[in-house]
Amino acid sequence: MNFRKWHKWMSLFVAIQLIIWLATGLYFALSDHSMAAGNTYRQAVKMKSNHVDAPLVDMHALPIKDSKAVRLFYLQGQPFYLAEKNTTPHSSEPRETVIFNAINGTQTVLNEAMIVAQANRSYSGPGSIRSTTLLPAPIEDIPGYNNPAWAVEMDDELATTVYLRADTAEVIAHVDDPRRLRNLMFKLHFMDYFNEGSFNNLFSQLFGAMALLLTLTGIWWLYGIQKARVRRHYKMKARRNAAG
Amino acid sequence: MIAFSRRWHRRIMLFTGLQFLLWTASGLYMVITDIHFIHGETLVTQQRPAIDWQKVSFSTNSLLSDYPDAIKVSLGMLADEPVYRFKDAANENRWRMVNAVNGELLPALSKTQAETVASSSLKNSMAIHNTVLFTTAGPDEVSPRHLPYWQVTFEGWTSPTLYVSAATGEVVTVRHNFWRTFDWMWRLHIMDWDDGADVGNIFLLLFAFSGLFAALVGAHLTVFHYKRPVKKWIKR
Repeated sequence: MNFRKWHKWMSLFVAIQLIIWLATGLYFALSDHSMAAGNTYRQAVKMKSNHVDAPLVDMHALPIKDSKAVRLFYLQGQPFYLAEKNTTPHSSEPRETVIFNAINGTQTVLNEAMIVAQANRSYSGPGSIRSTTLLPAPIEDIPGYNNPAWAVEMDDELATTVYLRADTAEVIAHVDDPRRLRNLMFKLHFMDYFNEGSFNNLFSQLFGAMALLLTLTGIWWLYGIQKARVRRHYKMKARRNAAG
Repeated sequence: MIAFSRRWHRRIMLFTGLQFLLWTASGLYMVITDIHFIHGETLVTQQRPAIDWQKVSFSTNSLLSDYPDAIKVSLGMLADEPVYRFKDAANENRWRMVNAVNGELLPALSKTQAETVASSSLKNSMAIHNTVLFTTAGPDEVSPRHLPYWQVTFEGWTSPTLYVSAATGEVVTVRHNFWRTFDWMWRLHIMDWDDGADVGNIFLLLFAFSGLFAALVGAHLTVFHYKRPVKKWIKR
């Protein structure tokens, strides 16, 4: 089989995906990145040293002898400890944690009211809360995130949802319609049809290899065509010169 | 119509063909190399040592009364010693480290300490090639927000390099030649040969537009080529 046949066969398999790659690539080049980040109505939640007057329970007194790290954080003026039993390179990976009330040392779980208050603090839009749900991972809007998270839905025109970590109420992301469109474009560009939030998948590897083959055979074919055209041009010229 | 598609597929590919090669080759490199490997996660151990509670004797309350502007306070290990790490809001938001045994404010990491941290973070031991301290500016492959840091480069053909924060003693970035190649592939992919930060550049727009048109007329040629055999096959 020669390279022309290879080029035609590869085009049969890759054509649609190649058009998707180019069209989504064009979207990335053209789209307003700050808009597509989902942060239209996001504002920074200020970190300040809001220490309380009452003494804290010492980290040493917590029943967490196998921890790798203990962190002190404040939420709506109340101090908490986060004990990490495992450490991961990315905070999106499964993390085993325990939360303690830092005033009395009791193990606790952040309640919905605290989550709602934190979501409101990070939100600057005109909407108000439509629903609040605790979701297990994986979550469609935030591919690649593998811990449980609270979804606080706002009733604004962009359908903003604020996602917060279930353990610390830290804001993971704001996801609105422009961001959902960007997520879809990434999914198509990465061929991430299982929503893993990654481009290291069999589809992209297989189609990537075929696209490379399509390009190489195409370049070789084009080289052949151009060479023949140049030759024909000079032959014609020589003939004309001989005749003239 | 088919002559139009043939002509324009050829003409535009003369102009964009080489970029298609760069797109597909760089894209293929990026999808076949595991991103966790690229980030150096196979090079360094992900589990930090457990806190040695026997040694922790400086209380959290003492720390907070000594440094009332401390934020992001955490307790963890630095080599064999438990330490408190925090950002000092009163001091340009600088990271600080306090010994959790005696409450002493720890100075910036020494070269030996940085090398110990880097070596003990590796999954498989390697010999150190070079160690350099960067305080105000450093190489492009690591974010300036981590300054000041130690760059510890190990022997080996992939030139593994660990960046250890001089303020917190933590490994903040891991680089090796596969990452450096990945970074170049990314630049070639988005046609930003400068710093790889600008996806919306004019070259990418121009080539993506014309490439999309060339691909569409190419798809027309494919449909034309396979239409007859497919019809024949259906009729059979």
